[in-house]
Amino acid sequence: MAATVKVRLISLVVVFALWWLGSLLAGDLILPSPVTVVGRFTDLIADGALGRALRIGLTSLAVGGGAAIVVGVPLGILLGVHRTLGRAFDFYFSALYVTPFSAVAPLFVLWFGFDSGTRMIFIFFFTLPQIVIVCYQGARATPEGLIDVARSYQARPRDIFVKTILPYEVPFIFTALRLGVGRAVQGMVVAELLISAAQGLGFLITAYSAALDIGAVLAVVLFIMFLGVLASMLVQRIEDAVAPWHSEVTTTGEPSGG
Amino acid sequence: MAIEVRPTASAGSGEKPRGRRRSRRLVPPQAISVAGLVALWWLASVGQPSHILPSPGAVAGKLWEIAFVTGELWAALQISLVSLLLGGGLALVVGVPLGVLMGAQRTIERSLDLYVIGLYVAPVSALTPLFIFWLGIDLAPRVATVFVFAVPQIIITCFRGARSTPLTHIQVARAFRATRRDIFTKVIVPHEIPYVVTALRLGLGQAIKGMVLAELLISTTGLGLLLSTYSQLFDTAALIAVVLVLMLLGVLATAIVARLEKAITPWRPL
Repeated sequence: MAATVKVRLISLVVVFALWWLGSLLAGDLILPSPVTVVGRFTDLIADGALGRALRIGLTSLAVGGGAAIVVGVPLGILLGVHRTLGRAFDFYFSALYVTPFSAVAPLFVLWFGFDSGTRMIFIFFFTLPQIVIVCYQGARATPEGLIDVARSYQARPRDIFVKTILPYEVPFIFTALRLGVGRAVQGMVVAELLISAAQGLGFLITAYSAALDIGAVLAVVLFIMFLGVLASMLVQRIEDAVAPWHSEVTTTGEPSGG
Repeated sequence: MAIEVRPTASAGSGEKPRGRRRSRRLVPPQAISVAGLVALWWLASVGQPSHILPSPGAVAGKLWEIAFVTGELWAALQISLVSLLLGGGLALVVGVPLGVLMGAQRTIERSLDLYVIGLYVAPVSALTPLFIFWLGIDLAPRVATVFVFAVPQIIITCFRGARSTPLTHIQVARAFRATRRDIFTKVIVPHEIPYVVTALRLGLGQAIKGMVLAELLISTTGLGLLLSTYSQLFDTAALIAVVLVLMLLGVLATAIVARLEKAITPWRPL
């Protein structure tokens, strides 16, 4: 453990030193030093710009991502349990998953206009495939043998679902949440950049780049990235606390071919 | 690494065909569902102005037009593919060795894993405006965007491959007095090869996403230019046509590499 901490500390110090050196060589205008970025960050917090932008971003994140969870979890389970429905619809979600979704943003703008509702819809569709795919895989992860045993004990389909399939599904739902939150944050950033709101995060980034205030841009960008990492870590923590036995469940969240 | 990304094999294992009636069905459900969707779309488009929702026929016609009459689709595709190949290639060249080294060497893993995981989880699209500032609005920032989209995925997959080399293989090699170098080149690297193909598949999907985003945000060129032009002209049929092409590009590219993956490692369930 101690060795790990030491190596990580050294590598952090090296990265910061390189950043600093780079900013000395390139000039503070091109690559602001860590000090400048931290300074701009405190400014942004002090004048409330970051807080306002964050509120706009997080609202659409909560609505769009929340709706994706509410719709995606049951939908994924349904497709996983019902064989024919699964075969009829699962490939749409695999296709949506690999689609470069930012391409759809202009279409959404045409249909729904340039407002926060459009960003919510964008985040919803950006997150949905990930959640459906993982829950779908979870419903099919139940060992065939267990279902057969339940059937031979004359379990009704309802019992099979509640007592056999659902317990296998739970850890996958957590995984879906974790991957979904990460994906929703990514969707939020893309939505903010492509379907920009006045005073939103995307607006902050574009406005400060236009003003050549790269210190502020870096502060906002690093903060957003930090937020994404934090969100995933948080759900992982909750997952570990609520269901510690679930850590062995493995899925990358990629659609599995078939 | 804190975030384990394991092979899809385990997730796919539940994929065994469960329905025994499968072969008896005349029309596959997929075909019915696609036909139903197109029919719904067509019904919904009746009476709608074409800039809101064009009919499937109109979109197909537009697709034919931009592909074979004006040819602008191919011209745009060519421009897009340049940044895709450069950025994706660069990501492979950097990511594969880095991932393998991280898997083989604890110290390298510990000094880099924080950044790799950070990039993997973080919304990297936020970096694009910075690339514009640092690299201009030409090819370079687009290549950089494709690169940062693809590289974390590739590193993590290759790391996983190197790390999953069975310990017994390494011990046998050691018992035969293999040097560290031998173990690396003759045990770890061969084990790694199928993972490199997986990395290629996952990385390619990411790279295409980076490519589109860069073309929309940085220099409007290639397919991104088509998207923004058509949306400004309210030519929704053409817009949908390009979106469908991009969707197909993503699906096809992944499917082709998945084939390759299966051909190389027939023993591994996909």
